[in-house]
Amino acid sequence: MADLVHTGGDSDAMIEEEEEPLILSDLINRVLDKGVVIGGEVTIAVAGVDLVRVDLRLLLVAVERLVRGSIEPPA
Amino acid sequence: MAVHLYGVLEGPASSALSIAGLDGRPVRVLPLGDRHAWVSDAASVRLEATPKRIREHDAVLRAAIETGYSVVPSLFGRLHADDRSLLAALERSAEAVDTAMELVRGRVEMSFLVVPSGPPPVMEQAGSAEGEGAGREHLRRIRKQIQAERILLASAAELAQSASRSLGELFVAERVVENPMSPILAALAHLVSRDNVARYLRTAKSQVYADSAVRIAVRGPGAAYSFAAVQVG
Repeated sequence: MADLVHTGGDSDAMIEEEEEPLILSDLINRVLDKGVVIGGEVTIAVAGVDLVRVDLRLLLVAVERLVRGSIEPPA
Repeated sequence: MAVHLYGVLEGPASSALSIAGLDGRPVRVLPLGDRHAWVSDAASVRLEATPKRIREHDAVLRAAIETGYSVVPSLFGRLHADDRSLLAALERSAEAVDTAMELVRGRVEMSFLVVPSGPPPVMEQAGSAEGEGAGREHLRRIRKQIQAERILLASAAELAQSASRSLGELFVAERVVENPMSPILAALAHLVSRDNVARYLRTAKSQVYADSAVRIAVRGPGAAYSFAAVQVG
């Protein structure tokens, strides 16, 4: 399935190959930043070019703590 | 064989799935009362985070979102020994999943991103100065580059703050992503009702750029990793 990146152009939804690093960076920010623990160092690379070396010793923020800290469930 | 969990879903009854998950393996449905867990088998007990797998994990959850499910996403990276141990872990996490489901029911996550509008500026080439003069020149170029990056980040932060105000009535929760990964300069995660997605996109795209060196990109709708992700197990 294609991943959409919406930008400020004429089209409502553009699918752009050159947005690949952007999509991956966004995903890493969100999918990995507050939860996954995959010991060790992983090199994130796109098209053979290392984007960043991530030390994936990141700690889960449990959803209960997240909810208590910033968000209340809808009534 | 280990089992990978994509998320817990609530919504339309599951029919036969034909979705490819991690490493192309088929996504399976585990019934959880009136909910479902989407899983796939993994070849080994250790799961390495690769760009391809992260994209595959996300693609499965976006497929669920597109189908109309409310999705409590599982964060990437933990495997379970088998279906039975996963179901037991889900049972232990039932309260957290319930709370998360309350948050995401009928809602999706949108990523508001500010990125450079062009390639990063190329550092000036060294001049012909030698010795101490060359060292000073090098430091001057570094200071100039750092200053340019700070200006770019400040512009991005300003645009993100402005967008946050404009979009405020369209999201129910916001999370500012700290130190987003390059090339992203500033990133906001917004929890948005499905009914507001089209309006959110229109409003996001209508943001005025005070600095042409930055531009806006919006990803979504997607799973609400930033607000309601769980790590089961």
